[in-house]
Amino acid sequence: MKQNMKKIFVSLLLLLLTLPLLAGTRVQAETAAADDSAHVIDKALLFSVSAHVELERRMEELENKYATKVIILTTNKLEDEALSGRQYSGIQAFAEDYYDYVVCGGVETTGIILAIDMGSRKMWVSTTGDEVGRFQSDIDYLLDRVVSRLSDGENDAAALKFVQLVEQKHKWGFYPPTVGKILLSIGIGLLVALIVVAGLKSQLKTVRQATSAHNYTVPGSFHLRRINELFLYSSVTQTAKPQPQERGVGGGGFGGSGSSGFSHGGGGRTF
Amino acid sequence: MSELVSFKCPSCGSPLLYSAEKGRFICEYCGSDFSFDEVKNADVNADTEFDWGDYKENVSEETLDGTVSYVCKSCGAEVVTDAVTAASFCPYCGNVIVMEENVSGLIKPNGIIPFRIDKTKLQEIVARYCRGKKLLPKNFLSAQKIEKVQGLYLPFWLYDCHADGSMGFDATRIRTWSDTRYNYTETSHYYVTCEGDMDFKKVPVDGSHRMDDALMDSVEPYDFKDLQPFAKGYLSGFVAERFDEDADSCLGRASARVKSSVASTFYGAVHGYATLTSSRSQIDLQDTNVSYVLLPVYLITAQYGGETYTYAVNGQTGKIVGDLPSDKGKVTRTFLGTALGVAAAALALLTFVF
Repeated sequence: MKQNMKKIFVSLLLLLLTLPLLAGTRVQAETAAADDSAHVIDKALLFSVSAHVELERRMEELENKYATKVIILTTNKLEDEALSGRQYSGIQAFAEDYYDYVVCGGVETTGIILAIDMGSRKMWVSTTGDEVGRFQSDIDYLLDRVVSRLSDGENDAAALKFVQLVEQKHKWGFYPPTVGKILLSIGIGLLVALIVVAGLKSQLKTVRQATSAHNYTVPGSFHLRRINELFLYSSVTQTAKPQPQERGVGGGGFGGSGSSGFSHGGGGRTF
Repeated sequence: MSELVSFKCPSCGSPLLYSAEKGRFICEYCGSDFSFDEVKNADVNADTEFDWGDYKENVSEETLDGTVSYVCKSCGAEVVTDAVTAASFCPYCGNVIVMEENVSGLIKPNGIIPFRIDKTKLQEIVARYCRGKKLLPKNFLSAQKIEKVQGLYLPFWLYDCHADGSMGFDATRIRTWSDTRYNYTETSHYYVTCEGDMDFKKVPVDGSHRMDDALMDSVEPYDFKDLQPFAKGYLSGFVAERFDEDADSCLGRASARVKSSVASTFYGAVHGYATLTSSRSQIDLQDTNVSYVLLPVYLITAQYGGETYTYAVNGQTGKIVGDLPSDKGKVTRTFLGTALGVAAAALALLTFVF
């Protein structure tokens, strides 16, 4: 009996000692959420420890260097989330309110938040303050690169890519052009060059066969003696008037205002 | 051997040249100059006029192929030239010569517009024409080449006519209205006919077989207020040709131009329709009268890339026409430079703005 008690005690001790190791690669969200200075609030436990540490370090650096608060927030089920008693059904409103109230404590701040809801498999990037203008034209570029990694289940890579793109935007001010933009630019260049060369070549061609004798008309000699109109038939066509339709919300970026009244930019995707 | 006329200075016997700038005949050796009337007095056929009817009646067949020889009255050399040449220079002594038989009697032109553009102005015109043309080969029409250019009086037929005709058009009128659910469009179809007439004066068509018709059309218009009664003296110092395409064979070109103008005038006179499409046209030329004139042209030829390019300058107005070659290297550089520049600008715009 004593032996059994000892085994149970040792087993419990070992279990207690190894429990953090079994959780191992995940970090308790509550710990992070409780920490006001945390940049990664990983309630859905998506990120590895190493990625979490790396993300925190780089987002801290961004905050110190560029005075922008960068946040990554994940949740398993949006419906379970509540802020000051308010329930959320949309990821955008949740992201904006979480940033305004939880991260910034109701004070308008410059920053950007990536919110990921694993329940609805939706993500939203919300910008505020100076970041609204900074990311306005490039939000689709950022969303496309993050969502493609989330769709592939590469959560660490998605978060690191998000931070890398925020760093890049602050460092360079722009993103490298996409293949589509490069091809479009080449197409525009070739088309304009073709028009310019054709225009310059047309300057070299001045010989035209004469097809009229207008220069040799005796002024005032034209006499219209008779003009007749014969009605043949008529036809009527009818087309239905377009009915006003409700505008749908697509996956592209658009801005809004959270319940705080602060201006936000951003956009979302489903993965 | 054909007869040849030359113009010599009454003072020193040297050849006389017509100055387009001064409008007088100049002796380059003693500096004397003479008015048109003084030269005209020497014209042996001053009172005769070209008449196409008389010409057709009296000249059954002419052979204008091959060459004709003349004897230069200045140096006695035998000058061989085209059968259509009406004025030229003796290649041995440079004396001005006019082939009498090609500008007198039944084929004496009714009129002539003298040169108003001299070679100094010609150089300016050509330089201006080449300016700003980025694809033109460098020094393509250099001053040296222009110096060798010869003024040429070319034969033209001028047609006067009365055009009378009628046209039919398929026309539509469109009325639109709507109610709460539909937009309606009523298209009414009509057949519109109109009749009318108009007059044309001096529609020119070149009567030279070897001249490119499009080039001669392009050098128009001439201001026929300057048309003078023909006198051989005007040919002095220039090359001239007589016609080798007759008035009947050239009438088709004049007729097509007149009919096209009448048709477009009718088209412009019919108003009030949404669409108007010509479906029938009957235009006849009446009271056609033709006159034979010589008109001034500078012809410039230049070689590039193994091809010959010909330019014509209206000797009265200075209008220059002619298709210029393009430098392949310049075309490539311009194309690539523009494409790269625009592509870079577009990429910058797409990257930083959109």
